[in-house]
Amino acid sequence: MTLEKDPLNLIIAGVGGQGNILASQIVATAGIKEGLYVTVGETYGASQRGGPVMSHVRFSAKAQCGPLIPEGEADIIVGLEPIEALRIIADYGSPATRVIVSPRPIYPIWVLSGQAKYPPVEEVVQKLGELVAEVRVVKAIEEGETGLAANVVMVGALAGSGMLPITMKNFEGSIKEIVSPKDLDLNLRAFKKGVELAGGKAAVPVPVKTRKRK
Amino acid sequence: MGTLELDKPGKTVLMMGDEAIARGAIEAGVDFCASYPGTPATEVPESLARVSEHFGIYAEWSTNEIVAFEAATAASLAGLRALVAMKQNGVNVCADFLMTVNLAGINGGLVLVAGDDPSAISSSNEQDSRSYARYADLPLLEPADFQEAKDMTKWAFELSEKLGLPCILRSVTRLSHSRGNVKLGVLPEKTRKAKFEGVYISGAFAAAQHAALHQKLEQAREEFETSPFNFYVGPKKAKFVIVTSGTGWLYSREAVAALGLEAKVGILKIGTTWPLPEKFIVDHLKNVAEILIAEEVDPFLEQNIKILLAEQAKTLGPIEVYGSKSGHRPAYGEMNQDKVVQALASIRGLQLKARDEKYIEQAKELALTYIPPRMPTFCTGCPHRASLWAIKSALKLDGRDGFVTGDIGCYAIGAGPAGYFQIKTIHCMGGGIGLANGFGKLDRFAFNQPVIAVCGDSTFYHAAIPALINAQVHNSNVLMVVLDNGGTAMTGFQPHPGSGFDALGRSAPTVEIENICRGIGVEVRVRDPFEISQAVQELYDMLQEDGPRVMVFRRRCFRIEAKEKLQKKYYVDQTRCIGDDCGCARFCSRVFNCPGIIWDQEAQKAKIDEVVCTGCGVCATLCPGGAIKVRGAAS
Amino acid sequence: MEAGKGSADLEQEVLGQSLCTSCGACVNICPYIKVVRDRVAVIEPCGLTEGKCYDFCPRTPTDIAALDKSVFGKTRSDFSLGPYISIEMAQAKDSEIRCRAQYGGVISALMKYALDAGEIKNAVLTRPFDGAMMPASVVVEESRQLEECAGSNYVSSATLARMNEATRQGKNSIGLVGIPCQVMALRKMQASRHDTGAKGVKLVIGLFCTWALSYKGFSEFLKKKVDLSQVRRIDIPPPPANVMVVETTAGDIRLSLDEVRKFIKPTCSVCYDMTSEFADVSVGMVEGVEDWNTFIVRTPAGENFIDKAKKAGVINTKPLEETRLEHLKQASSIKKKRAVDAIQKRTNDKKNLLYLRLSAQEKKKFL
Repeated sequence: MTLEKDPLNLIIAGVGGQGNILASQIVATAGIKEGLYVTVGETYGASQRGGPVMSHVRFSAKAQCGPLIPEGEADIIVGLEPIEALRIIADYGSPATRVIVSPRPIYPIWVLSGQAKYPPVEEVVQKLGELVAEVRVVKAIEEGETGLAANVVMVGALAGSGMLPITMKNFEGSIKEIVSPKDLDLNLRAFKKGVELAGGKAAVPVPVKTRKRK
Repeated sequence: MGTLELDKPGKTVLMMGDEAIARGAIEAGVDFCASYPGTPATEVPESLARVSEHFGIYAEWSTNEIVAFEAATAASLAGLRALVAMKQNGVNVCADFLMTVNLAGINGGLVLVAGDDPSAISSSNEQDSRSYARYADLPLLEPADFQEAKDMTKWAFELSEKLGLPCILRSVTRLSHSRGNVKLGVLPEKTRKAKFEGVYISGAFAAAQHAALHQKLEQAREEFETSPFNFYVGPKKAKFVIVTSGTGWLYSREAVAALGLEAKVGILKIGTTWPLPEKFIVDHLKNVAEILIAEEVDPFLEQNIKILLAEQAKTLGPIEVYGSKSGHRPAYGEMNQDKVVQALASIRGLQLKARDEKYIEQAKELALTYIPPRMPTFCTGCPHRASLWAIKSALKLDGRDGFVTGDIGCYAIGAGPAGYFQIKTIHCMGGGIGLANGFGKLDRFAFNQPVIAVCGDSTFYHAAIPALINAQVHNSNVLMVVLDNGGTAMTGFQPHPGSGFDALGRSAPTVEIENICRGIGVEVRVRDPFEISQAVQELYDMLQEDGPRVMVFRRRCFRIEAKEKLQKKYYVDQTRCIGDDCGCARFCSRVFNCPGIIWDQEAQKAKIDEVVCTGCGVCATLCPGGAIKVRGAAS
Repeated sequence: MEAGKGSADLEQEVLGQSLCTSCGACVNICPYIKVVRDRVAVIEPCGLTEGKCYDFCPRTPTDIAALDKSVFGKTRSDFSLGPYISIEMAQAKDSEIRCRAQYGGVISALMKYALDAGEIKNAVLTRPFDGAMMPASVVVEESRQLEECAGSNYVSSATLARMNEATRQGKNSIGLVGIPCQVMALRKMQASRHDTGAKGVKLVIGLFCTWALSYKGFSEFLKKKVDLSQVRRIDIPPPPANVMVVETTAGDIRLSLDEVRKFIKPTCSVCYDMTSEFADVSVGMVEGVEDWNTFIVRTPAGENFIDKAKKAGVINTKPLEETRLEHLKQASSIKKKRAVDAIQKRTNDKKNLLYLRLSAQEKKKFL
């Protein structure tokens, strides 16, 4: 297998407690099933304590990649939280980056304490749009919901977007392998919900189209 | 079945670096694993504990690293294969034993996994543990990717047995906590039986033993000369070579590719970094004019290579060395491919294709000023938030400018806004009570500030007891507050001696903190920090007393609790919320600052964030309007 | 009542100047101000520039004439004792009550009657010994609970904090027993434009007070002489004894008053009120007469209540002799004069009287 862009770089950005690590593990295992080299670089530590968390997931058909994506080289960003998607553009984004984002804010403590303001989400999405090639807003959490398995909804949206060269079968196989049997139903449903929300009937991956690297 | 137990040699799976190390140990037939948890090494023993029944491995979470290392060494002395894993700071705790076990020697394969944390992502320092290998004259292996993490660990056991020395395997956060492809190997038949024989005493013949140790190290060097973990890639007659180890390998390879230098720059990747495979290195540096050393944190490889180059000056001629000394790589912080690219470009005078500056400026502006920063905070439901609020209240009521000394654990973020900036010193585990018992003896120098030492429950057992004994025998004026949340929460709730279960989750005897205190003779009280007003009152009263005192704030980490029972759902009755007015002024969100409570801009009232709230209910006890209620309960 | 000041000002002008009386008026009305023992502190600034805490405090600017008007509907004519309707001596009829109480037992008898007759539903008062010598403010709903509240104490507890807690829980129809600073704060609360549960206080019985001790200083001093948990009762016998008697389970300890006075709260030196001038009824000892109280009825509500109590045969009264009245007036005036002097010494400014806003006549008398 060859990738149109190799390595293909994905960042999943969110807040500690949102299930970022499980999401990246599902995507990466699906990539291994696809026969790719996959590297996932994760930030642990403060992650459980409500700090920003980001996973770098890198796919290559040729070799094992380093765990960190170089500056400006993120091809896809999945934002589990709107401002966390925007936060990482300066370091990793480019005009070719494509973004899938959940619009549900998680408020930082400085916003709670009134020392900082959380901008309107529509405006955040619009600012994101000015910086990247595409922004897809995926409402992973409905009003009043607790956001259970919202991370897997976002993985579903990523799968449904066709941005990754990974089949639905391998995504689902990965979920079955990773998620504990008692939570499997919930997670498979969440995944399907995400696929639908992304408007993706894409059971077959759409080839990745990004600008060629110089 | 997880990937660790998978008996499918040749199959490629996704593994975390730490899991790969564990799998390597399993493939080496490891019998015994004792460790104290510490990021980023925790998942090595955790993985082994998970499959310990399956593979007949003994696994324990020990009280601290030196105890773990000694226990593992015992297994080795009885002929078993044993592993001990720890974070970089843990190696310091082990150092005393390390500097004698090297002389006395071992029997069965013994591997010490040192998980370093460049950039101190989850640590109080970013020390480079590799120097311990040189210091203790022990062989050092540095895996560069996930496959090597597994394969090197397996080999480390064989090497250790061959040399009769413990082997140090140094990983780093970006390897331990990253995931990648690992091709599985064969699972062994295990047949070893434990039997102790011989004499292992260091000291009596230390000088002779030291000489023998140097010979063993020479033997290690011989082994390393042909190790497959040392290799060269690149053009045959490269004038410029990157010498690298550990994660530097992947970063270097990508950097060379990104700059299109594959035809001009070679990479000499060293996996066995102490003692250096000198002949192998010299062979590959003949005809080379310049080298760049790409390694993480200390110039360990750089300095050893420079010594080698000096010794081999006649053979090799002058070679220009670029690295941290030359300013091409900082001797601190994490490495990445961008840093290698920068170094290569500056040495070779390459014009980098820069990112659009305007774009970066626009994006930076948004990241730094448009959106709010996100500081780490205590989890929703965390007992530490209430404990630190109680401490703050008691110190303020006391009014003598009292302060808090702390150490390492979740509560360390109490030094920031999450803990109302209460903690004023943080060093090593147990450092808080050690310092406090010194402060507590300054009264003759007109020192009148009360001192509170906070310490986690796991830390109490690990490192605080000697200092508490010291405080008792010297009648030091110190109030120790043990923040007992029922486990080693920082690293993922591993059990400690007070938890009542072991590494495998089986019921285990407990050693109670308050019993230890009573045994020492220190006055001790136990209180639930969620009963905040009583907690404040008792702390205040204890602050008025002299001599050592201990308050145990006991409430289980909410992440353990939430797993075990269904939590209540809270809501804000906005008709009762006082909001911005006198009598509240947004206490819950603005000051107590739990992320589970947000401010409803439209209503100008507080509101529970259902996505974040874990239902601990402490806010309901603090709300002056009685507005925070349980859903479904009678009002 | 000066508006426009909040907890930051309270911290600076009162707490920071050791002027806090630990009456508790500012406690339990918000999450920021806490009391433990007799220590009050602002734990964290609330950020508001204007607040109840400052408004209620008996050591923030207090216009005596304005408070007179608000409580009595008129300003005072007696500048030594404040407004009053009658002054007598009184004692509880029930000798058992007298026995438990120090002096005449009038307060215990009146509160018992008030609860039993349904004049009030809740009594807020102080239990002298709560464990180690520290008094505790309590809310009592049944008169038999009053027994343990008999007796004097010389450390003040934050009675109004307990009252605030009770009113927040919806308790009303309250009878409160307090010392002068607590009574003054309560009246400031009732007069405040802020919404407060203090408006549900129906009966205020004020105690005479010359000073209170700081818990920390005094308890540390006493701790060196006796295990505090053994203390049963503390009493200061009338002059010229000049001693404090601490009754303990291990026998009596006699302390020189000169020694004890070192632990008087600094704020007591600026106190202008010995006889709880804003109470409905004020009660104190009668120098040289055991078993009887001095008894000042001040408000019509107080008078009405006392009439009923007398009819119910709860207390005996008899006239207070003229010489004793003069003596009382003199003592009260001396306290006022000393307070004004102490304040002027503190401010080093003849015109700056800190919290006191006095009428021209009062200034003439005491400045």
